[in-house]
Amino acid sequence: MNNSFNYTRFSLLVKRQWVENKKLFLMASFALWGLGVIYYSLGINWEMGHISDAVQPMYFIGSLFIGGTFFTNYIFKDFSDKNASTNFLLIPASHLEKLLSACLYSFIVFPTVFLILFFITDYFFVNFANSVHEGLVLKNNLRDESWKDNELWYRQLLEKPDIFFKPLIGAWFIAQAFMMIGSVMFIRWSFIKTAFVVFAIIFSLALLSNYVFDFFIGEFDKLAEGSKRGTFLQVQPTKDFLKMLTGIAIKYVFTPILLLIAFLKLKEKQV
Amino acid sequence: MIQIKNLSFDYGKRKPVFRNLNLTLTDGNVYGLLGKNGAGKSSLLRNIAGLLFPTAGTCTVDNFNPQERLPSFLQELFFLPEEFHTPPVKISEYVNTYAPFYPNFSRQQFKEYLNEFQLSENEKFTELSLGQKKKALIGFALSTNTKVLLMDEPTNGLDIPSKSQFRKIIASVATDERIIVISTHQVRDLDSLIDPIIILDNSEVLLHASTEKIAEKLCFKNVTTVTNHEQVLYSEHSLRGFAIVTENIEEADSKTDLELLFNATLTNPSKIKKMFE
Repeated sequence: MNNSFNYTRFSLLVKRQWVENKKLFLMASFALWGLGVIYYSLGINWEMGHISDAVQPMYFIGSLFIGGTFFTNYIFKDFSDKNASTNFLLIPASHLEKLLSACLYSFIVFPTVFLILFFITDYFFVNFANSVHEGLVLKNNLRDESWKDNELWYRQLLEKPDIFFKPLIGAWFIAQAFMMIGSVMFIRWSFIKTAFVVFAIIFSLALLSNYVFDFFIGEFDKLAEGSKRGTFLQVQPTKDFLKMLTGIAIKYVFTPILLLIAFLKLKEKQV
Repeated sequence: MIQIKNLSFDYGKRKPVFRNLNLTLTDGNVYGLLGKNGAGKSSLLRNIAGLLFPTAGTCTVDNFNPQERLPSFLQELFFLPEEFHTPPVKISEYVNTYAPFYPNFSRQQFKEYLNEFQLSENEKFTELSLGQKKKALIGFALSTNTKVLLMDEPTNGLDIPSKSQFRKIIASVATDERIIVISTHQVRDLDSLIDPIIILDNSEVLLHASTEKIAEKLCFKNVTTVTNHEQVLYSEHSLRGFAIVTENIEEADSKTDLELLFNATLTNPSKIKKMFE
């Protein structure tokens, strides 16, 4: 018998999540879409047909990160209750299957549903706002040369994938994996505690980055004016290297490491 | 077979539960696990189920290390905790979701247990009382036909007819291959069912013996006055005088009274332990 991974057991775990949570999943999807509709409605200048620049990225990033981490936390809700944890841990399936079934919902089902909801909402409001502006032009026979049609957000998103899109996706996966660890580790208020730990880590890294900078580059402000430029040129390759390293880590390294930690925490879980 | 060797377990340094516990549970028995509140009955069951890990020593269940919680181990063990979780679904949905994890699950058996407990598969867990939920889960637990069945206070919350139904059902599923361990405070609910008896107290096993052995070594009787004080291990007032437990020097036949046995063991732990060594 394969005690590590068996597709039948995995699909039974996926089915279990759906059977036990389908109503909530459907209601949450509707609520997420409803929030988007309200948010877009408030962010549109209805007289000019202009969508404020902040509306699309705020809804997209905010919902993806906050909604996504909430969802992941919910997927592991069993760990907030001793009886439910007991039930979950004793289901005859491997820890890997249990983690992967949660990953399927967190990393595939949630973003797929969210992207569908987001693009439907975005498509509707962008076209609606553009038609409002079009109507305004026709009615008043005015043509504003500086006017640019509202653009669907995925086009803006994909314009510079390396600068925005890829790091955003990388950061999202890291946030999800962090939330998985937190949900397994913490029994009560796991969402708040995990968020606190993540912010503490980010804050510490921000402080630590000064020391890292000092270590590699020295105290830039104390350098003589004349040597600053030269020093800057000297450190540029190091800076580029560190930047590349960070980029690779965000995209490919952190998430698997965090998932491995979540897996080990799940194996060690006691109730 | 469940083998526990030199098992120690604690909830932090200030809360030791077991120290060097040794216990062997063999197939074909319905063990009764007795102990005061906080004696470690639930912790022992959780160690056997792999929900808690020993701080020292080993626990093996049919050569499996429960700590690993391997699927092949879990599909042969069912643990019904005292307080349990039921998802907000119909009983039928619960069975459709969880039963496929257990290769020996019998739907027919489950239906019979539900009938016995007067429950319907179409009822939702959220609409059932605590006792009804427990009955549905007991039915599910027995239908899994796992080799090891652990039950923590299964009769808590059951009404009087359900308790006798429970005894009847457990007696019907106790086979030579199965190990059933029932932890309970309600000894009177199960005294005809559990055998052997294990009494836990102060981080150790005070008694582990079959009821036959207990009846051979101890005598349970009612007397009007207590004489021979040195032979009396425990006495308590009863309607007709005193209920007493003595050493069975005269090899008399008496029915084991689990409540008296439990109190006698806790009153004279070292003496009882020595008698059954």
